[in-house]
Amino acid sequence: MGLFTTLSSASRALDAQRFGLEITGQNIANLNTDGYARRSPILVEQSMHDGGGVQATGVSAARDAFIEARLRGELPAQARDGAIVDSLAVVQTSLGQPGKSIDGSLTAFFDAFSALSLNPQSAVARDGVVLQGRLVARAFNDMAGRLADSRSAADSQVRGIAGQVNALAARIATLNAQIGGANGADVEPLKDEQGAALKQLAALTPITVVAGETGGVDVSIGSGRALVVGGNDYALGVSSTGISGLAAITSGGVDITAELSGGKLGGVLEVRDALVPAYQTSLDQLASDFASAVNAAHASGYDANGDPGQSFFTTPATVAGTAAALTMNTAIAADPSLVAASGTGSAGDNQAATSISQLRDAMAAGGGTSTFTEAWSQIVYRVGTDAQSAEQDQQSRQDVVSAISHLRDAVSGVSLDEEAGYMLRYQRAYEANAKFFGVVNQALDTLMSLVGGA
Amino acid sequence: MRLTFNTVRDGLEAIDAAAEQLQSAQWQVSTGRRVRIPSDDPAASQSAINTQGEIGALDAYTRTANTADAHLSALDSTLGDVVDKLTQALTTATGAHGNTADQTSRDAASATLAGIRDAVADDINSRFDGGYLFGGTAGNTIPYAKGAGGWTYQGNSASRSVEVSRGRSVAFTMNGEEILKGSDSTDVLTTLDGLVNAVKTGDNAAIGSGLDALQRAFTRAVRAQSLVGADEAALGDAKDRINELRLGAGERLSNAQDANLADAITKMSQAETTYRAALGAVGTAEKVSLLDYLR
Repeated sequence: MGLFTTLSSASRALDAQRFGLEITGQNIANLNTDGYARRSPILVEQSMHDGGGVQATGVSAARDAFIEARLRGELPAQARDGAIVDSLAVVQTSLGQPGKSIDGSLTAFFDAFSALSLNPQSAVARDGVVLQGRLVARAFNDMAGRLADSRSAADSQVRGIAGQVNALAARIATLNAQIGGANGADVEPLKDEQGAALKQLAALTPITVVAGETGGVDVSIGSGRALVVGGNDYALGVSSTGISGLAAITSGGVDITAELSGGKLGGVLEVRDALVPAYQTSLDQLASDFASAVNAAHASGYDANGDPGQSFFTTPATVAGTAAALTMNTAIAADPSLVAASGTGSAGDNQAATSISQLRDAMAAGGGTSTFTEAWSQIVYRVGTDAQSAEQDQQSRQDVVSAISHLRDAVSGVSLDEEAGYMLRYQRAYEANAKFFGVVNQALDTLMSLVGGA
Repeated sequence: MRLTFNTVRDGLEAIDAAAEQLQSAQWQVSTGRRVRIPSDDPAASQSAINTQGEIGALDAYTRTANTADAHLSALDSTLGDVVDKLTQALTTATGAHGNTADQTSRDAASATLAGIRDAVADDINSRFDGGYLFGGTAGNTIPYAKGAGGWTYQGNSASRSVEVSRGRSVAFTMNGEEILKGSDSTDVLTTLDGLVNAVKTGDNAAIGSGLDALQRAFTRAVRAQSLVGADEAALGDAKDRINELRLGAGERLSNAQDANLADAITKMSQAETTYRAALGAVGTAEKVSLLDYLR
């Protein structure tokens, strides 16, 4: 092997060490890049027959498909619980503090009838009853409105998440096409992006990923509904259904909403379609029970004019929607003398007012199993336990996701200390090779001077 | 196993968790409350709502009991006055009974009886808190009025009751006719009218029957007063019981939603230490690198 061959070998070695330094720089630069897999230069020894030395032949990325799949498998459950926790946090806040919400309005309403029972002919006491009647109806209306808002907010999120799923599916399909058509070019950055997109997608909804031969992935959701196949994506549709106008998710024209139980999408759907509707049903039942009991007691009495009492509250024909539509009888609201305080028709009698004030302790809610205040406390308890359960589940899922993320980082993550070591190693190797290059070059100079001298 | 330090994930997660604990502890100390939202303690939230409702009911009972107490006091003092007046009437009419009194004495006794009649009428038509005490539930109709045909009871036989505790009611208006007339054919006001004339004219037979009627009215008034007195005593017991229940409910509410301040302050201190430790750990880990040692 001649000096020129040795010089070429030293030159390739310098290239290889510089390439190693470049890879180290790339790793350090992407220390905080989500989805980035640590790169390593592929250095191959050159045989002495081929001039010797080393050749940088490519780059390898440290990935573990099994860990990536485990992470994608755990993310949906964590994201689902997180979505429920976030949505129910708003619902919980809207329930108000004990004594200052529906329960406080009920207490004030019964207090007003109690005051009226003390002095049934008092115009002030009658005005108080009308005022508290309006306020308790409004309290139910407001609470129903807040729950409806929570449901609408969840529906908006459903639509937004469907859009995010479609955007990610389109990106993954594009990446599939780019990876498949790379023709030997470096596809690792594309695979990093593919992995990050799959991770984001898995947090939105559970996915099944099948790796293709060319490095692309096919993705399906629900019960095997294709979302991405090769370079094609099949966008989810969103259609408004029924009177409520709530969004239904479709795939290929088929409603697959019921299949989407996991991920952030599943959590939001759970809040929209199961949890909040259950609270609304309970609230409507409470409002209906309350209005029915008060109306019955009020209608059995007599107003200040000696006429039979009317229904105190106006309610819709069905229990559903009662909380939102509950209003005071407009005639009574306009004329407090129509409040029926008397049970006999005598102006000074207070039996009807007393009967209504006694409803405070009556087991008239929940099919005769609880008082109105207890029924309200049961709704609050249910919201609290639902949220608490989701919080605890989310925490345990978070621990699992965190543990798997650490496993992934053990394989794919960038360690600054490690890269610093590599940087020093490549730097020293470059210096040594440069020195060697200089020595060979000097030898060549010596040889050339001999030739020139001859 | 390779170890990597992910500042965003590991560091901030630890800092966030510690900050959340510190914020929660600070909230407990600053507000004195333990439960911020139902999920903090669903059972305590439920208990707090039910106890607040119980307190609302007890406060309402306290208000009605206080009002009933005032009414019963007014009834008691008015009936006491009626008893006094009837006693005076009995004494006066007894003095005029027989043949010992001269006309001047009879005239004076007659005038006294007329005054007593008017005083009893005033008593029985007493108003309190905007209503008549002895008109039953007839509202704003004056109980006894004198017309061309004599005295007429315009109230009714009912009474207005209020609930002063669960299942216990107290009547605070009365049927005036039951006191002044009872099962007699005439009320005591008409009896006094008759006595005014009988004493003036020295009609001993009429005075004698009038005295009998007065005695019966006296007995009815004393019985009514004793019933009111019994209600007052029972009401006092009911109020004591309500106060005890109210204290108990307040304690339950405090247990359900109030923070144990000593515990909360200790937790806040611990949370602050944890927060500082988390910040310090992240800061220290970020500072240390092999790069610092390579020259």
